[in-house]
Amino acid sequence: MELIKIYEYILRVFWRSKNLRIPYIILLLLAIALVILCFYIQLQYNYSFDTLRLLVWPIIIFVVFFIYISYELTVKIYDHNMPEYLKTYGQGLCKTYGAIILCLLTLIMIPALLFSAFAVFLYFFIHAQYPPFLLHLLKLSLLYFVLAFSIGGMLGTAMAAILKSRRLAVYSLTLIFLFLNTRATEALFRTPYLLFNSYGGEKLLYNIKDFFTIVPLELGSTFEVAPLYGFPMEPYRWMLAVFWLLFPLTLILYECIAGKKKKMILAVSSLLLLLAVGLFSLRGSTLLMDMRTTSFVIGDNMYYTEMGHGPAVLAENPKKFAIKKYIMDFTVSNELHAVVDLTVDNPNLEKYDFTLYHGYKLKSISTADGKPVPFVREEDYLTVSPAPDTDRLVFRYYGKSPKYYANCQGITLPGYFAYYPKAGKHEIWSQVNNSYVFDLPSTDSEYIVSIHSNLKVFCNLEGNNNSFQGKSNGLTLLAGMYSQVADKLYAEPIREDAPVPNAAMIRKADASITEACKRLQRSPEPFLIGDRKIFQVPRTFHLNSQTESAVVMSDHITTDGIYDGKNFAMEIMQAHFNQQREPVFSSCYLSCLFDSLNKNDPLVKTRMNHVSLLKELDEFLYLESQVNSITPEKLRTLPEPEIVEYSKRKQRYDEMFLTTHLKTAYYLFYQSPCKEDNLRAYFDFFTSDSKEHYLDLAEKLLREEVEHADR
Amino acid sequence: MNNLILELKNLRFYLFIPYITLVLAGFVVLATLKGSDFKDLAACASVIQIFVSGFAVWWPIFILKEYLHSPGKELLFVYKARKDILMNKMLLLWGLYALHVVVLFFYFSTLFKPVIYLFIATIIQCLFLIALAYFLALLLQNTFIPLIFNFAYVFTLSMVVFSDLPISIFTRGVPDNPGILNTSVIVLILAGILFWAGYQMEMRLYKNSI
Repeated sequence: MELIKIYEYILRVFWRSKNLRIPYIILLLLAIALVILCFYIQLQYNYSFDTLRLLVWPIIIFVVFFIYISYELTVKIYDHNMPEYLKTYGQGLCKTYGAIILCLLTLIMIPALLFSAFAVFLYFFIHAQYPPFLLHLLKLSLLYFVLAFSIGGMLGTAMAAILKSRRLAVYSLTLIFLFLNTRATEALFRTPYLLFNSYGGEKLLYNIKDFFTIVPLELGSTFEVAPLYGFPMEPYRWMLAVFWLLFPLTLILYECIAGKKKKMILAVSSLLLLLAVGLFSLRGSTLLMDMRTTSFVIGDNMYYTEMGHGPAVLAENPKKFAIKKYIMDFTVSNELHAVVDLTVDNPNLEKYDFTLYHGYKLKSISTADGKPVPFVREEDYLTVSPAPDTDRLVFRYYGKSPKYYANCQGITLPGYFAYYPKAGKHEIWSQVNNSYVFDLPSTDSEYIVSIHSNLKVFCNLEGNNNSFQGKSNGLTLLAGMYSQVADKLYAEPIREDAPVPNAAMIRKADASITEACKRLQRSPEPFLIGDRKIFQVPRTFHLNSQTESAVVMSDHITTDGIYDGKNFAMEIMQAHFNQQREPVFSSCYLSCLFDSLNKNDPLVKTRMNHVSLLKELDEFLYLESQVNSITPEKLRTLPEPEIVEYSKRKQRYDEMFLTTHLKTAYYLFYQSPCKEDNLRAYFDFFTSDSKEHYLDLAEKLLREEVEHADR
Repeated sequence: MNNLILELKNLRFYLFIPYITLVLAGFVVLATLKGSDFKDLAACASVIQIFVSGFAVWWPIFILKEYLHSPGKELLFVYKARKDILMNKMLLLWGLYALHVVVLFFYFSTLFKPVIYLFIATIIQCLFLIALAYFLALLLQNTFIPLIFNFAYVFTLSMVVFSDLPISIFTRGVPDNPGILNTSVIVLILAGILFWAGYQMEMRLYKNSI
């Protein structure tokens, strides 16, 4: 019988079966309802990435539904004992399976094309006019809808071919598959390290989950999609999709084909599995937006804080040398592969200390003429001992960071991050702030950079065709759905939470800084943006760090979003502050300085008494000293009554924390008769290298005011 | 009851899946508490609702499978006495599952207090999900769809929108006050309606089978 004829019969069988037809029609109605809901959400919020996220969320349920349809349609052959009969025809069983797969593809294409059409419609609806975004949407449609649904169909057919009427096994496998494609796994997968301190166990479980993940943006994912990166579609995800299409196909063929070819199919199937596992293990840098210990969100926090890799307190680190010149050759494929040739300004040292993020694995360090140089690596720190008079060192390394990714889909490598060797030992993560630390060199280095990537890379240095050259104290590389939006302004064109940055905003920011400095009677020069380039980085950067709102480097600034000129000015100013330990207090300070306080806030409106405020501040500082004097190790050794006492103090401290900060800041910088003097005093304090506690100064200022009032 | 025990035994390995999930739920709750210095009771409540309520339908669906998909399904209906109606079996299975949940909650009571409100909310959710599975299975004459529907419902509403939608039976927040039982009465009534509707269909199915 002709394949087309069997295909028609199978379609008829599908249509006559109430068990299949009615659920399929309901599914189509649900798909239409989902598209209407997404359109409504788009009209309400006008944020296409959130709309698309809503569209993608329930896709795994559609995939599981196609497993059901394909299984129930195929298992009819076995429920009615047809295989033997079909095998008597020339390739009868094969043709039947072929017709079933064709029939399933037809059924799958209707919702897949509906979703794809909506995604493309959205592009035109928002007047995006950015072809890379359209390409991204087409890829999204192919991977998340067409391929994912087809995988559902193939898995169901393969399960019917192999497991036949053993429904208990089919149900269980389908449930495991659904479970692995949702965030319901999160609480379970944390158990190995929370209970048994087994980080390896967690990693293994997530590796298994990732291998079975068909829809990369899982059901239950709450993290926003970064417009620079878009939906995860790294090469390994395409490889996995192809694998999950071909592997079930080999299982079906194994069932259809008889004789010696069976062994060949088995061999192909095993080879496919091996190849997929092999390629999967080489996936490199990927954007992991979940709560695993190696994710974008908590990866570095876990590494430095919970897993005990935090560096010992760095001893005073006098600057013995600086790096004059970098010649860099980067290849960005599955991850970053780098050859960095650097020249130091002082060739007479016995040892050179460098900082390089621990995620980058060093292959070798050599001199310019290729002689290996001995080195010792300890987490983020490298101590290199070259022969005397060696001024050039060549570092060869590869690797990744969970946050600052570099792969075929996007690159976010800001100049303040140690993705290339930096002179001296610098802290990368502060356990005190739970944020990244930026310790930029005070002098500029010369850079010659060449990047091999499928993406157009944007850099703070001058150049084109992914080759750049110039002087700076940090090298920033960004790529993906990213572009130059105005002169010296670089941003994500499809970012809808903030307006596209423009020159007027920058002028407004500079004007606000000048005005604030005039109020402080200080020179605005060091704080002005001037002719620096500005790079907008993904808003997700602030998820695990409070210090990346704006980072100022010698020739450029990175910011997680420019919402308006005044806000940007405040962020720039904060970036210049050395005391960033407590963002609430310094933010209040800046709000008062830039006159952007919310005057309707009850705390702002309430007239405060400086005497009672001083008492409150004294109590808070006392509690803080008591709470901070007890480390977790010491707490474990304390007797029960002291633990109870500690808990009471800690609770009171937590209760007071926010209000004390807000009240103190609002009084000193907004209500106090000496507010202008206070603003100046704190400005000098924030921009100095003082190690004094920021609230000690507040106490001093308040005490002076009380004494002055008494007199 | 004897028939039900035999049917459960017939599940072989699959009989133990709910035991495995209940034990896992115990570990996950302990880990969640440990990870939050024994403070995050809201997270524990959501874990319990996903794992304990979600798997309540396992035994009922797998028992229903024999009546709806096995080659001798008609015979099972022929030999049925009135006391053997499937709805009774569903209620018995709910009782059996609730007994296991009681044991688990005894253990939870050693970790945090009070557990009684969460326990009541959980077993009512289990009853509703069993009623829904029973109703859908008889309506569609199929057990695969109720299974998919159950877990899609649990995973979607417990994680994505939680209790923000009126169709959700799950509760959010710290389980230390009777407020979490706000929706339980409606869920209980809905479970009763679903059982009644399912029973009407079962009676028709019984007649047709003979």
